[in-house]
Amino acid sequence: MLLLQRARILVIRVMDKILVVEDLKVYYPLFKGVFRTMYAQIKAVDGIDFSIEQGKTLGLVGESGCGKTTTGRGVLLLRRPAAGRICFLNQDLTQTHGENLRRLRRKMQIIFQDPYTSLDPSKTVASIISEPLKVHKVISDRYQLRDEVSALLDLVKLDPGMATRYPHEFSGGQRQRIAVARALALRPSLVVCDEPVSALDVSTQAQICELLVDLQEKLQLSYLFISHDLSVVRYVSDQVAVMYLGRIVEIGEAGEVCEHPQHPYTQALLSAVPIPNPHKEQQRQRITIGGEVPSAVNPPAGCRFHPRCREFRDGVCNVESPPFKEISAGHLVSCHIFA
Amino acid sequence: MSDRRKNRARLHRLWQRLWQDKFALLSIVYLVFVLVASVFAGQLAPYDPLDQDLANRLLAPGTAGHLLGTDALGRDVLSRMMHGARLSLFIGFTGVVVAMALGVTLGTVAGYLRGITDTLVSRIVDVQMAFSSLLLIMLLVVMIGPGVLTLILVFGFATWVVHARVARAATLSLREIEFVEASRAIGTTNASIMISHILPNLASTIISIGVLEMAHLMVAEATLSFLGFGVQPPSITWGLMIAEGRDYIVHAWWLVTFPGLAIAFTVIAVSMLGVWLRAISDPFQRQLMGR
Amino acid sequence: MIAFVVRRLLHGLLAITVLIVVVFFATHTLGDPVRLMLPIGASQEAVEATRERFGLNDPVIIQFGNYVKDIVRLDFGVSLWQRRPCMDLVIERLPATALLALVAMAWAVLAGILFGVLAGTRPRSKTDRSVSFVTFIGASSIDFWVALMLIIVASVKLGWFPTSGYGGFKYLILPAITLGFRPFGRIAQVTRPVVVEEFNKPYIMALRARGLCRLRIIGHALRNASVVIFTLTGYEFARLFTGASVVVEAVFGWPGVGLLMIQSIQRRDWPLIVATTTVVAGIVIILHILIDLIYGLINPRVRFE
Repeated sequence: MLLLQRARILVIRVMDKILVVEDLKVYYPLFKGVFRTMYAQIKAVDGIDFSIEQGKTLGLVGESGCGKTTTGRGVLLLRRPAAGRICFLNQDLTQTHGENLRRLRRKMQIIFQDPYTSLDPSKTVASIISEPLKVHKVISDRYQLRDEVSALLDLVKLDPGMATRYPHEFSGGQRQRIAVARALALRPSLVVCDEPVSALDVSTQAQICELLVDLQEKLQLSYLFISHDLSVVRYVSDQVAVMYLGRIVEIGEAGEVCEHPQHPYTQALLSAVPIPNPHKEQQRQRITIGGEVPSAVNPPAGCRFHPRCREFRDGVCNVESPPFKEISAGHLVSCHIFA
Repeated sequence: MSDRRKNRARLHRLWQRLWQDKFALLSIVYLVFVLVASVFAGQLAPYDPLDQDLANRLLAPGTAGHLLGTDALGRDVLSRMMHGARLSLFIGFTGVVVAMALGVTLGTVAGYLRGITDTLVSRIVDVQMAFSSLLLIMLLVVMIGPGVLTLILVFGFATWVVHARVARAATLSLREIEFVEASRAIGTTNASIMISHILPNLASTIISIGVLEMAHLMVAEATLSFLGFGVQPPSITWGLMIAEGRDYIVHAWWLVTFPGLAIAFTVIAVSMLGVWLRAISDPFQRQLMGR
Repeated sequence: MIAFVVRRLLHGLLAITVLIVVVFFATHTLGDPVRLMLPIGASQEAVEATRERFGLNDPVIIQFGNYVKDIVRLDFGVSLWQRRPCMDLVIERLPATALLALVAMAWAVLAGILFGVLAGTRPRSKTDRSVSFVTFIGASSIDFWVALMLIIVASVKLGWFPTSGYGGFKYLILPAITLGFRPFGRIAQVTRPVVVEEFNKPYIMALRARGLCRLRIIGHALRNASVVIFTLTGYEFARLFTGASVVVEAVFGWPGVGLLMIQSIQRRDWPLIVATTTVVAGIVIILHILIDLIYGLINPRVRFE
């Protein structure tokens, strides 16, 4: 990673950076043969850097397979990173284990994409939401627990009387609210939202996004908001990072990146988002990308996007990986056009 | 709707399902009947099962006071059958409980933790599956010596693999579902996850398998007792009664027929119950896995 | 492909090793063979003499070493009862068991497929229900009781068949029927859903509209089901060789390996017990390996696991 970015992180560390990720790499091994020997690795996340300030949201976008979900899992140490550092609340998570890690988990939580499988169907809502409280022995009194569960349900705008019901009695949107309540039970500092609205219909999407923004303000939460839907990301995020094949290609303030995308890939992604105004929509030029996402086992040499890039320059783009250049304040792009 | 009303509604639905399947209903009625007869055998049986009456040996069924006849020592067949039900059911049930305790634990742990634990347990399961269980049971019982406790332990040790396999397979798919990952993110320990998240969701599957296995174990006990390696006299089980009656098969067919019918009906009833349980738990399982 | 075969063979080897160890453990350390062999009131000298004779006073390791050495050469010692080498006795009796198992399996497969097709082509009809019921009974049948019932009905009351023994075809019928009951039930249970599924496939409707005869469709379905039926048959056959045959041979006095095992137990003939158990279990393991390998050949998906 470029010295500039490194220096930037060092300086800002003094301020309210909840999460600082350096050169994160998460690989999945592939096995073959009689004795199951590893013969290759899927390089899902191959060296990314970013940071999140307290009370702010970083949106992580990209198409399927770009590694954004794995990033979310990796940050929470639900997958062991192959390399890199994750500084959360000034502690390096990659060097934390066992009981220390468990204690830190109170402060970082996750909301999953599918509300139908992220809640244990054999447990009541109260039991699901109070699990974090019981596991970390925060509250032991039965009645206090019940009150806390009611308070949490209230926070996500659900009727506290529903605490004794089972997940299958609720709609998708309601289940997602339950998931949010569970995530907030221990008052975390960071919440990873892994495509939290992708499985919901459009009106419910809006409701849940609003809820998340609302709660962020109330509780000073930081979000790592992962999504493939740019319009949603833009509404929720302060900063946006665009991922492709395990690397970040562009990162910057949300409005800036969405109004003035610099990387060819970002530009293509944005052009795919429909504009509500039918006239403008018809008039504008669509940017399409040919080909498919290459395999993450053997990524292309140099800039990973070069096989599909319309700005491809032979001898440059397929040889060297482009460094990050700061186009404007806080807006970085990794592309040889600017190198 | 209040919770109590909901529970009653659920029970009502279950009863409806049962009513639809006449066979399952019949099976449960029969099993309840057998259970009551065995538990209250002391009070309900017309005679003392050990009471010998040599003057009335080998009476045909229907003769005065002996609904199912008497055996070679003049003992009332019906009373012996009612008392025999106790041991037959008990051994089958306890054997399954032991097998399940061992099998479900190992299978769940292996399926959840994977890695070396899984490899080890899977190898053991595969190898043990290659042995015919009856052979293994017979060998162990012969060497250790017959007896009720031996039988139960040997049954447990010989049949745990079935439960382990089922539990492991179910755990493998369950652990990939996101609520398990959610618990890991919370910081719940692996043991807690296995006990409070995996096991309750396995329950319906393993119980239906358990019921079916109980039927198998009852047959195994009867077979062993029949061959002389199982329960020993003066204890009574249905299998033993058949063994004792075998020598008189030509003239006193009832000594072999009635205990055999009892075993047959009970095994069939238990099997039907198991199949029915599996049928009703299947949609629940599917609901579990998604929409 | 090679990896699959190698893995399966290694696994089989492991199974046989474990078999040898478990039998040793069960027969040398778990129970007391001397107590098994001698009557209850035996004198101390007799006990000591027996221990010496069978090398039971040696340390366990030595015993195990000797045991393995002998097993590898298929030398199980001499039967106390028949005073002949155990292995000879076992080999003598194997053909009888094999014959019984084959005949039982033959009728079970034929009847099983027939009944399965009968039920599958008329789902939810009365035929289906009654056939399914019969096959359910069959699959959960109790070998020795069915045997006794058959004896009562067919032998004693009707006098058609002899009650027990070994001789001509007549003696084979009842045992074969008894033994085949369970496999029959299982095969029918497996065949039925495959037939039902095949008839539900869309292309069937098209073919029937064109007048395709039912038999052809059944043929199709059976071809799809053949792999499953084959493996089930294989496993049931292996099972017949051991557990089931023991009981049936005992009831009918059929001189096979199963009866030999019972007799060796009843006569407390320890070397023979070891011999029969090991050989029979070994055969089962080998059969399983064969079935898995053939199944792997037919179904390529299994090879890549």
